[in-house]
Amino acid sequence: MPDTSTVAEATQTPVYADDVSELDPSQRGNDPLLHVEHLVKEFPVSSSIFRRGKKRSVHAVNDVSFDIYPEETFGLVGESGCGKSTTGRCLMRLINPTSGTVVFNGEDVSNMKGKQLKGLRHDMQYVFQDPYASLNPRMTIGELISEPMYIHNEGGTNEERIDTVRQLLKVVGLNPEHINRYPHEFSGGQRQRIGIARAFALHPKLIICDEPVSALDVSIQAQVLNLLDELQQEFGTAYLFIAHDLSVVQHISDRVAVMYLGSICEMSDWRSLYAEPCHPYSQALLSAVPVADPDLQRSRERIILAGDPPSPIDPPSGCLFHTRCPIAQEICSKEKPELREIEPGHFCACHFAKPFPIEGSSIKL
Amino acid sequence: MPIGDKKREERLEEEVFNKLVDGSDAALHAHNEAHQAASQVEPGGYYRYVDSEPEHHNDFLTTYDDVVAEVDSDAPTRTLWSDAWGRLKKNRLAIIGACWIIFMVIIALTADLWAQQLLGSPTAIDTGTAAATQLQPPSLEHPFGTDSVGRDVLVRVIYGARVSLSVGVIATAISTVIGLVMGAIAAFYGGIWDTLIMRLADIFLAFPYTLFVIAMLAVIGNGIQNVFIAIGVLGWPSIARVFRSAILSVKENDYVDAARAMGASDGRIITRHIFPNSVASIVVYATMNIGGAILTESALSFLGMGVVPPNPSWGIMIQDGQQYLATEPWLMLMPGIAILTTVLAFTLVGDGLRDALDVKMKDA
Amino acid sequence: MAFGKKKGEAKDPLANTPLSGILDGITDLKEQPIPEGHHLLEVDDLHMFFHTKDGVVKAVNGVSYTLDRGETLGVVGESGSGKSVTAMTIMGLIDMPPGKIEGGDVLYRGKSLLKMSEREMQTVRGNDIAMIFQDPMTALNPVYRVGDQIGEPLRIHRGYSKKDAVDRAAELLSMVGIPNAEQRVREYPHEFSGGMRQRAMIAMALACDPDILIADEPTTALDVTIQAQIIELMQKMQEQNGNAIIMITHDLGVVADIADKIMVMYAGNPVEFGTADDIFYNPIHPYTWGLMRSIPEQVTDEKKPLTPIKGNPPSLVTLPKGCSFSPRCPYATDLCRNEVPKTYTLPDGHYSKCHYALDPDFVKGRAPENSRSYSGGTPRVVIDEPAGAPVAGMAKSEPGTVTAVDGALAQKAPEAASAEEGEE
Repeated sequence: MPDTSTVAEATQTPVYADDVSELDPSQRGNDPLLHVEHLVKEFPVSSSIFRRGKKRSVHAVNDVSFDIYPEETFGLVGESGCGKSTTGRCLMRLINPTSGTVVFNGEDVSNMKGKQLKGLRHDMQYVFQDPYASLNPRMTIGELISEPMYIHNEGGTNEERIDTVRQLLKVVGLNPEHINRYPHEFSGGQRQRIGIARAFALHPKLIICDEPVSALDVSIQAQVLNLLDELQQEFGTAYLFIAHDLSVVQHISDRVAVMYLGSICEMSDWRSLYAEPCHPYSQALLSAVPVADPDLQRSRERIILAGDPPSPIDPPSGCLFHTRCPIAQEICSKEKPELREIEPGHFCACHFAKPFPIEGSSIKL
Repeated sequence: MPIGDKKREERLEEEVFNKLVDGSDAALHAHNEAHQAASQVEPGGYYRYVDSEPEHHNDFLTTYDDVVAEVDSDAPTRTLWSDAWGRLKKNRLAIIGACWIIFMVIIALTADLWAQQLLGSPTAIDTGTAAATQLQPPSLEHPFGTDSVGRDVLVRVIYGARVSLSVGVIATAISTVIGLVMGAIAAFYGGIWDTLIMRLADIFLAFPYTLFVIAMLAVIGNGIQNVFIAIGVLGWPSIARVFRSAILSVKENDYVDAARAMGASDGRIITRHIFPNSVASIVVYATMNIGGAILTESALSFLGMGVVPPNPSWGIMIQDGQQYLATEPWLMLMPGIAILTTVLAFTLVGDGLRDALDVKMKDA
Repeated sequence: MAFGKKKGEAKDPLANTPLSGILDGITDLKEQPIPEGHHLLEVDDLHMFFHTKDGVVKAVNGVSYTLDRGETLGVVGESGSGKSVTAMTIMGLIDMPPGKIEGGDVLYRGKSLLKMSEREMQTVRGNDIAMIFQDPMTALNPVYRVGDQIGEPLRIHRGYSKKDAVDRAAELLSMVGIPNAEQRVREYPHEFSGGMRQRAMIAMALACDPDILIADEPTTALDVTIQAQIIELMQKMQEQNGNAIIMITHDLGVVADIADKIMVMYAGNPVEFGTADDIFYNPIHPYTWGLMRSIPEQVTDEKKPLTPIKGNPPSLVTLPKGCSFSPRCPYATDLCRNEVPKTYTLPDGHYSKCHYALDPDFVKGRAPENSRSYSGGTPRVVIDEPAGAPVAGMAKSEPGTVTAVDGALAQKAPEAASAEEGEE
């Protein structure tokens, strides 16, 4: 891969001080497992043949850059339509990014074809949101979980594969005797366990978890979160954890990025993001999450954002958030704020983020 | 996996387990060591060592087992088709329909062996006795009565079944094959192919079907083979449409994306994921189409386009019988009932297949 | 009918109009006083089973609660726990058969809803009791304009003309915070965003100024920031109109936000019922404990592991013998596995269906650490007090700081609550 080294040099991958301290010392200074830079994905809006004119497109992902290090969990959080799932799908080339660089494991993903792509999809796996839709209803769970092994021709003979599937079922907390059952015979949480078992079948280095628990009930959600935690400790897999639920992301992630309208507006290790959110959107998002504590709920101040997120077809000029931002100034509608490091490891894309607090704002910055 | 390694692994596992029970730090250490050793031995054995660890899994397992124990009646292996068969067997109407079809097929196939001896020739007209035997009502000797030239109606219905059943099956087979190919091309390649094929299908569907068949027969000539071909070739658009939309809706599912995310090739995605999930609608549609083809053949024969007299076909028999409707109704009634029951039987089987191929249907 | 009345109303959109009783002798139930000794809504040991060919589905199995004007009841439970079906039963929206009332009663202003004829129920639905559904995308009919749909209950219950109804709909829309309401009423649902549709649903539900607003997972399909808007809106509307709200949700955060009373449901059973503070700080049913431990806490120091409830909810057809939670309950004993627990009610009305609800040692030793009653290791709640003991101190911590936790009062005393928050 010729361009990897240049890419790495050019970006000067920042050191995430807090984060690295949490990782194994041997990781320090290691190259990221996944390096994403200026990722852009635009979907053309289909126009009628009778109405020719300026081509319009949905700016689903708008200049997103981040790194994921081995064995860490990187949380990507945002509201529906903010492009977090599209980002995940671009990384795996389930959809092709419009532009930008994705380097996984030292190899440029963006131009992979055929065999290389197959190799990528060996080391990177995907867990889908909907456990009902992501399992082929006409395959038994044995066939489902062993499918990656068949595709990549791994795991030895059929009997050995079946053996591995049984072990995987045990690992994810399902009864290995149910290997011949169909997905519809399982509950939502159990199906998600099947999906997770399938993702782990090839010992991937990175698993993209796309809202893996949002379709599940609270008690089942906790089971699956714990399972993901245990499997990570067991196998040292890195996760890209995509979710809209801030408390779930907080629970599972080492570092978190908040997305709004296709861009990352804040990125930090989970502790400083949740303790001191710097971007007004992160603050509003955090304050909007209902906490299961009535007293706290009554006492705390809430920032309720007015209106809906703007359409990604015509994103606002300047800062994408300025249309709903409670502290927006003139500059916000004109200049797009860069994602800059305001504290070691804490990135924020706001003109007024620390160390330039804005006077008299109702929001503590 | 070499047997020695497996043994060693099992021994290690046991050791670790025993030590883990002790709960000492040493056990943990040993566990890690064994873990490393095992992963060096062979990566497939990796999973074994997590078995004893996540405690809530074990809790989960036991309770889960309790919950499902009562409904747990797993056969050692299950496939889509064996399950479908199991469900089909429980559908009484579909079984009645299937039995009726099988019965008809057997009668039609074996007719040469016994029917003529018992009931006389279905085609030959014995001018000598015709006057005496014509237009007899149903009796023991002629269960379905006799027609205007003294032939037994039953034997003609039996021989007519040959024509009707083979038209149904062969014509449907032709249209299904064409329809599947066209539908698949339209759905997979999309774009200009989709537009071309689907507009072509629209054009085909815009013509009155029977009229189209008649026009085609006028070009390629009369005769039973040509009837097969005409009905078959002209029947593809609806199958193509059904298959195309089935594929498109299946393609949207996450599990297709999941397969791509696993690195599956296009061929595998089509054969393993898209086809099994869209084929059910085609099986059902084709089964029901058989009935339609039988009806079309009857209509053609009724109009004098299909089977050439004196060969029997249900359509021709109805045409022959219509002038005697008021006085000798059995001449029309008997082939009519034959058409009705056969088409109904295919429809019932089609319905049953649809339910049987739906894995989500309850087995009970 | 309603002609000529519009102008006056425009100033005070939701004021109770004397028009209500105008329709051919049918008087609005909500205009009648609540009989002595009754609450606005009383659900009393309601049983509703579905008789299907697979067996009897015990969807609602002994639900009891009371509700007064201005109060909010949160109904929490996992999917399939019967929380929506209970509401549908109260509204008379369950098809009978397969549904069948197997016992109990629902009294609205002292009148039994279950004994009402379908015609009477029609005047109640949308007028006295209104409902908001989970999915704003499907709950609005795509072929009618938004204004016509919002105005529909007014035309049905108040005899408004089409034009009056649409005008009123515009007022309602602007009231629920939709800008340009005059134009918006003429739009179709697909032109509204999800949050706006839910606002429109709320406007429609509030059109006739109902006594009770049943909201079935109103924010589940919405994003967090929109959810906050909608909850704020519902609270604001409640302050204005004084209606009661039944909030059905699976999100403990949402009920903590909005509810005065909470009913926790499991497998068709209300396993615990009490004030919000009872449920969050002094839960006495193991299932409630399990739920509390299953949600990630918002912490910024050290993450605490989640303790999920093992297993899956049972099928409502084959409920386990004994307590239906016993197969998943980590504390289940033989008693739990064999005998269905009765309802054990504490003096303040906090009740629980657990054999050990009244056993202080059991509760003390097992309630989740984050339930406030156990911080510092000393149980702050004495639940084996004989009946008639002081009630007020139950839910709150220090004996001195007694806060009124009776229903709506708790919500209207944020100062007190926050002050206490500061102390802790």
